[in-house]
Amino acid sequence: MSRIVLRRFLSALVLMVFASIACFSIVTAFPGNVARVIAEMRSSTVSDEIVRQIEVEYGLNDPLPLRYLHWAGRALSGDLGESLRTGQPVAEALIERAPPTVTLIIGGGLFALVMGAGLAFLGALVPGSIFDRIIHVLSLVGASAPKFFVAALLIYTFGVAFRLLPTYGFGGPLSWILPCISIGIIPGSILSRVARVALAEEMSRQYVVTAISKGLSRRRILMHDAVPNALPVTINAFAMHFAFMVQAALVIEPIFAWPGIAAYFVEAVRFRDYQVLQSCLLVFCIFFILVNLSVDLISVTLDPKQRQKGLA
Amino acid sequence: MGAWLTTTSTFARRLGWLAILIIATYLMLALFAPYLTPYPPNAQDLMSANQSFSAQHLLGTDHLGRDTLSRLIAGGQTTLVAVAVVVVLAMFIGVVIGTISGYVGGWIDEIIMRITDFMLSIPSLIVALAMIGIFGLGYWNMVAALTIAWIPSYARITRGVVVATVHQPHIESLWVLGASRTRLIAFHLLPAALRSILVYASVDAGVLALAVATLSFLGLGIQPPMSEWGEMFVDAMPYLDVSPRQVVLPGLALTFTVAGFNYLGERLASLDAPRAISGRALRTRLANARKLLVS
Repeated sequence: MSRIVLRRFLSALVLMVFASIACFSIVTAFPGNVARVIAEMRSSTVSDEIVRQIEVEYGLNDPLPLRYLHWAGRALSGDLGESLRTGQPVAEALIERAPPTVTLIIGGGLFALVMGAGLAFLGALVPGSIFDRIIHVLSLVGASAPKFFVAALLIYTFGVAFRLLPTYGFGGPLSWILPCISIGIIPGSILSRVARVALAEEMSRQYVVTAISKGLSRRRILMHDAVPNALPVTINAFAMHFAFMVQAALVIEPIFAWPGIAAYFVEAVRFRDYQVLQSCLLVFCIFFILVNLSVDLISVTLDPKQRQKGLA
Repeated sequence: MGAWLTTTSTFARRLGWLAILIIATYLMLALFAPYLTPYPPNAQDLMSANQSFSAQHLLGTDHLGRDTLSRLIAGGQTTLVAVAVVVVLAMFIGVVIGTISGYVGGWIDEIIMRITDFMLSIPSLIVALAMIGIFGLGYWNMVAALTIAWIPSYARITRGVVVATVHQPHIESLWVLGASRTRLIAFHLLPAALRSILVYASVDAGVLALAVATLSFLGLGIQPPMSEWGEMFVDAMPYLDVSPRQVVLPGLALTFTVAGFNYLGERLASLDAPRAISGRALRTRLANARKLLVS
């Protein structure tokens, strides 16, 4: 057990190194002279001398591997450089902007999980009931509706028409509701279908027939046998959607005017602030790798088959 | 139990026809856009701004008095062109890379697959955004960024099919008969790969339409005054309380188009498997397709 955990940790570490190389190489892929871009952002008049000065200042003339090591070393000690546009240290800005993004992703994840698992369980309890129909309709619409459209409909319903909830800015828990629902409702509806299919598959197995013939109730079979068996599939699907919420946050944060990391990234793309761009990408990559790692660890503990493989 | 869960049910088949209807309508509108728009899509008329549905403006006007119906049709064309260019480019480059990777094998295959794995582990939209950050704003930069972000999935599919086909008896016997490498690739491996790729591309078109709209929504894709659904949407957001229809209409257009491509793709995927395919295998295949579809 501990050996398989250790192996997963090591491979996650290797992946992080690869991710950091990829993020670093963005600077080298930057077309044109990076030093000139920096100079142009600093002042309107650019002379060759200033460009050369900046090249030396940023160490742009060093060989690439050396530059990478330099950058990675500083990143490890918490120095991600400064924003080319505002001059603010990127690490500082990221910490400042973390709370909205973390709230959004965790809140949205919880909403998706409760909605998906809840609907699937209720649907499996009474097959063909209203819950099954809700799952069906949601999974039809869910895969196709743009996130910003869903968010706008929610804003209109709860913010404009009924004036129940705040739709602008990151404030108290009340202002968290709409953004978290907007980001969670689509993964939730897809998840409900995945979990419902997994449960339906479990409920059509022979051990369920045996259990029914022994006189056990449907609810008991669901709770004790089907749900634990359907859990690994559901958790895997959830983790994928959870990781992809970063992508949804790119849209949800601007629409609700939340000053989060995703909005910071979009801004960096717009102003070609490569220092911020590569730092945000690095943060995203580390998040994806950590989510994958925890899914691996959770499914190892949940799934006896994998546990055995790890022990052997 | 749970007949609706499978894609072979009557309902799924009807949905497939509905999808074809939607896509056909969309294609007709987009292809003949210049002849169908009642007004020039960018013509402003501030005197009649934010109007509701009327005989003059069937779907009303936006905050600059531009005719919404005309802009929707023109926007559909913008999206179609962008999506078509990206799909064709990404497909072409992806097929070439995937064929090389699968046919040559060895360390070339290893390197190519590690890179595609890495890119596929990051949501494609984030890859596209990073590319736009490098290239800068603009229509063709957006197309280039999306193409780069979409190449890995095509490379992966092609490589999978090529690797699975290249050691099959009929290919090996052709090789023994003296068929040249070019002939093998062009007449036997590529056609096999193209089947899976075209099915994938039809689902992918919807995802790409959504990606184009999302980029335009963020102000990083299609630049105004060119009309595009995401751009129309973000343009109308400040007037949500005055004229919500200007937000809802492009949103609905986008949802229907994406749904159309999705169900067309699902339908094609189930037709692509003429052998009696188990429900489970089909679901895994769809789940894999949907993995890339979550955006």
